[in-house]
Amino acid sequence: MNQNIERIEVFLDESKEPLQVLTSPPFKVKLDTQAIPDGPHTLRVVTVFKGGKTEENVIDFEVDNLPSPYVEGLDEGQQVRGVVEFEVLTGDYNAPKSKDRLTTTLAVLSSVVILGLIWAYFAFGPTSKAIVEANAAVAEESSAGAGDAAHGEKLFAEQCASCHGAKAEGGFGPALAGSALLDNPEQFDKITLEGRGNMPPFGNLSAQDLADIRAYLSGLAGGGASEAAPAPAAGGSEGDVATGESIYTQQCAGCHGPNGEGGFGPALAGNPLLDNPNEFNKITHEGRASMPPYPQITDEELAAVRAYLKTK
Amino acid sequence: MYKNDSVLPFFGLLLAVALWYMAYLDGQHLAALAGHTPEDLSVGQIGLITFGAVFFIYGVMGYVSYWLEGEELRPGRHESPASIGAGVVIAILTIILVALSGVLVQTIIYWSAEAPVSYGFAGRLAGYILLDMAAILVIYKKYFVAEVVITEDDHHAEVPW
Repeated sequence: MNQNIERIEVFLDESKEPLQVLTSPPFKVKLDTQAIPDGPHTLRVVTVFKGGKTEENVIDFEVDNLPSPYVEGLDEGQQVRGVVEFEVLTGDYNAPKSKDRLTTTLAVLSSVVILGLIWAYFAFGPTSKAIVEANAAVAEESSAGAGDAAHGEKLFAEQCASCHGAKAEGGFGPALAGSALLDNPEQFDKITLEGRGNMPPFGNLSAQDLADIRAYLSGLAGGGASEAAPAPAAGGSEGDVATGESIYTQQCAGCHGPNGEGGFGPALAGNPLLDNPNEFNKITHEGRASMPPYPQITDEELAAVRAYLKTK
Repeated sequence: MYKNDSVLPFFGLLLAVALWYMAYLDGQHLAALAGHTPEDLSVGQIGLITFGAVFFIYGVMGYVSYWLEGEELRPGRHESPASIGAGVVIAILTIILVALSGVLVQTIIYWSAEAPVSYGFAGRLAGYILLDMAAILVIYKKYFVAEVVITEDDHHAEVPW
């Protein structure tokens, strides 16, 4: 502290009487602004040094304990007549601060509840059930088809191989091994049941039969074309009925019926053509009308086929 | 005093997220039913996304107001906390705004004279310009505008938060 200070006098505004006289440190002044009116004020701090010298500091400040009122309904310069109603709004500096209503608990809880309910609706709601059922049906269908590929192979050999090849490699009809048609079961079934172009309808096949055939063809996956069809026993004699049956089942039954009773093609059981080997072989090798040529079947094999058909 | 808390903005943003989540899950279900992901949005998804955007904007407005004015307006004179950092940020954002505006003008000239420009590109550019302008105004208001708050009755507040 400065030892030369004798006293410090604090004056408020133009008052001649000091507000406070400080003679020893600490020189602290407490001013109650609520005891003086709002508005501009001046504080004069006069320091009196030993020897009589003085120094004066002047500080202007503003007291604002009461917020200014705000008049709503009457503007500056506004023309009025009759009864005028307006409102005087006032604020309060001492009004308690209200707490923030959004707590962390509320935020987390509401987020979990709202987002959880949405997730639950989509996970367990009616739409989900429809999806589960649709996917289950597809899975069931695919598993059923896969389980009966062996049956499908038998059906294919009886009904389809004569046109589409023993291993579905194609012949008179297009190759089915690896065909894109297998990816479209509805289209496959429709063509098979209703026919298309030169292909006759096979309405006798059930939905399960078709699924079995598809399963069998899917298993070939295009490899059938490179595999040679199992060659029937070559050099079959005139009376080799078993060989004839095998060849007939694979190559002819699809159009002429499993027992030669006819279908898309004419009946061969009891057909007089069986007694005319040359004509029979010629038609078979060269084809006729809708019937495709089968040049790969040898004369001996055709003899076996005729022998088989004669038993019918 | 009127409240300026973050309850409504928070729930605005939460609802926006909820609606967008619904749109996403709806898309997942449609993909499961169709066996593949559809290229286009469904009508339902468009509706959900749109309402989500409305709630998102509502929430962002609330949080910007909360940041600018605080939780509660107190009567009195509020001096601006002007700072060099805020000034520098505004200067940078202004330079970016000028650059983006230049690109937009060049795009329009190219569009009219040469060939059509991607709608998405032009739209994004306009969006960036507006966001940049909004950011400049918000920062200016926060750091350079002093204000005197008188009073306002609770029931006379023009916005609900």
